[in-house]
Amino acid sequence: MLTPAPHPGFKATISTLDNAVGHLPTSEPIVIITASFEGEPADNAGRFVEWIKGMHGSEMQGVAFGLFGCGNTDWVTTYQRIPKLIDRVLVERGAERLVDLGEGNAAGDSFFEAFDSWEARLWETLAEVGLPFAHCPE
Amino acid sequence: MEDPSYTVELKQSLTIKPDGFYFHATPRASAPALVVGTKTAAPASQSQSKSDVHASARDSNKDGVKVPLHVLYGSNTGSSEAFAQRIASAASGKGE
Repeated sequence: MLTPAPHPGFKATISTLDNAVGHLPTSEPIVIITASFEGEPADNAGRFVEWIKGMHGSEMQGVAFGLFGCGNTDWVTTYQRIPKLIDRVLVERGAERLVDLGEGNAAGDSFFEAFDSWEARLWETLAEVGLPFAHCPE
Repeated sequence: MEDPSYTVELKQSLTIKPDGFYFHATPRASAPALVVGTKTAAPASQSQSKSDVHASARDSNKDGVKVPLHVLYGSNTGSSEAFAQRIASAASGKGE
C-alpha cells in the first residue's frame, strides 16, 4: 500500500498487554491484538483487563487505539468476549477508537482475510492521523 | 491410484519438533525495498526533486523521526502475538 506523500514510517514497540498496566501512552497510537480463552483474558492480559475494569472516570482520555480480536465461534457464548470488553471499556473511559473493532474467527475460513482487511484499514487511518503524533523538528 | 485394489490401512508415526521456538522476521535496512508504482512528493517538498525527497525521508528515518506506534497483545496460543508481530514488522515500511 502506498500513501501519496512521503511518510516517515512508524517505529513500533511491542509488548504484552500486562506490560502496559498503569502506563498506556497517550503520545502514540496503540494497536491491540488479543483473544478470549473460554471468556477469560490471555495469561499475559489478565492484569490489564482488571486494571481498566477498575476505572471509573475518563482515565483513558488521549489514548487512541485500534483493536483486533482473535476469536473462535466454537466457544459460542464467550466469542470475542475479552476483545469486545477492552474495546468498550477503553472508549467508555475516554479513549478514541482509530478503527472499528476487528474480528477474526479461527473456526471460520476467513480468519486471516479478516485480519488482512482490518490491518489495511488500520494503516490507512494511521497514515492520516499518525503524523500529529510525530515529534517532528518542524 | 497406482494400485486399484488398494484398501486403506492406517499407520501411526511419531514426530518431534522444537517447542516454543519463534522467530521475528524483520526487513533488512540495507536490502532493496520492493516498490510498486511511483511516489509523489509531499506538498512541503515540491521544490525538491524526487530523489531529494527520498533521500531526506531516509535521513529523517535515520534520525529516528518515525512516528512511534505501540503494539500490545494478549496471547496464549500465539495467534494474537503473531498478528502483533506482523504489524510491528510492517510498521517501519509504512508510508515510505
